[in-house]
Amino acid sequence: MIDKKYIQLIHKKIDGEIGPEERSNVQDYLSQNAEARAVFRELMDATELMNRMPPVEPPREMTHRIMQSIDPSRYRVKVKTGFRFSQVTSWFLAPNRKPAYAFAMGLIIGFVLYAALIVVFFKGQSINLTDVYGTISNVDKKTIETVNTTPLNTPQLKGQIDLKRLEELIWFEISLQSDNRYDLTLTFNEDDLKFIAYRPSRAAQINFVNQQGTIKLIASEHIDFDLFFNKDKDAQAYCNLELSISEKEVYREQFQIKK
Amino acid sequence: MFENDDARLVQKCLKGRIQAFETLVLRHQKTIFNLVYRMCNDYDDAQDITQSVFIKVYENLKSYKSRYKFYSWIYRIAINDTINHLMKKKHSTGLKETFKAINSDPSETYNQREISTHVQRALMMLNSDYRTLLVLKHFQDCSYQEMSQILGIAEKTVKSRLYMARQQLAKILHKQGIKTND
Repeated sequence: MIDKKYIQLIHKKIDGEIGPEERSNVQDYLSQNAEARAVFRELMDATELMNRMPPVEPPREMTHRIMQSIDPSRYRVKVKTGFRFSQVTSWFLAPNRKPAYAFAMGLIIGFVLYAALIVVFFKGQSINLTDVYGTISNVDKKTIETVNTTPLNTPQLKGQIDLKRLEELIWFEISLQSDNRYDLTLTFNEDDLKFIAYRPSRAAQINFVNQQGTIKLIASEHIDFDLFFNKDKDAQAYCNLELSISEKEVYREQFQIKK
Repeated sequence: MFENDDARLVQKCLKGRIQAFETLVLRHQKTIFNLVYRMCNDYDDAQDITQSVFIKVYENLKSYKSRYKFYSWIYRIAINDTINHLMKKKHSTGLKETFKAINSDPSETYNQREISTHVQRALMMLNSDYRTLLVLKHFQDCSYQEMSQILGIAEKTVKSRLYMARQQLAKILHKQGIKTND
């Protein structure tokens, strides 16, 4: 019967992995145990026989046979030959494009919001008070409301007074003709109507004065002119117009401009 | 040095340089062929299995992790493929029954070629696990640590199983009267 511990040492000795103390130990044991010596001899023979067996040569064409059986293009690097759709899609599908997508989305949203603000904000701000003629010229004429049309046909004074409106832009289109000198006085509440501009299109000699809610104009012959006002959107405004010749009233009218 | 070189060759293969794979084949084909041959004891089968091992290695290069030794990886593939092949072929244990001592006289000697044949046959009488251990240790000259890495088992387990394998082989050879002339 062989001590299991010594079987381990015998194998270690065969492997050449035994220390001096263990070698001495197992040598002593082998010298005293015939069975152990027999096992040791058998193991040494088996090991020696295996170690002596020469390697087997593979056939000469082995390498060629292997290389012929693989696909050489499997890992071939694709050569870029100009712009391809796949290059475009692969760019868009690359995982590191998220910041670019986020930026682009931000631009699109910003543009949409800006466009919406433009529509909403300028819907009520289509009138440019610094360029009332430009505003009137550019808008659709159907949007201009004629509030009042007053023809004048007196012996001393002829003409027409039109009151027109484009939202809160109010203006008088006045055409007057007389052989005499005449005075025009237009009074209005400055809280409700703010005078913007006087635009003569035909004026011989005109003396024009604007003073604290009163416009006075002295003219003769044929004149055409416009008077522009900006109405307070919450106010119902009134204008009183008076025409006189030699201090004698020839025409008076009150114009009402609704909210 | 070869270990780092193998990893570099794999990287070159993955970049489409087929010559790098041919270098790997030239470097390892004889070792793999011998491993497979010793496991299956059939020259033709060893050729087929060796070829399939390298095809599998080539097709799975992307899965190779450079932190492991290349030969450990390829040995593992070769051992598994050989065992699978043997299971399919069902090498009979009839060898054990039909095998007879060429010469029952223990004092007679054999020429080396005959001895190799008998030792190989004796190896085939062991189970595949024991055979694998003996082939790796005595034919591939692997250390216990390398065998542990290849087979994925603890070094202590490798040693104890190898000792058992040696003892079994030794008994078979002794019964057949096969021994060294020394």
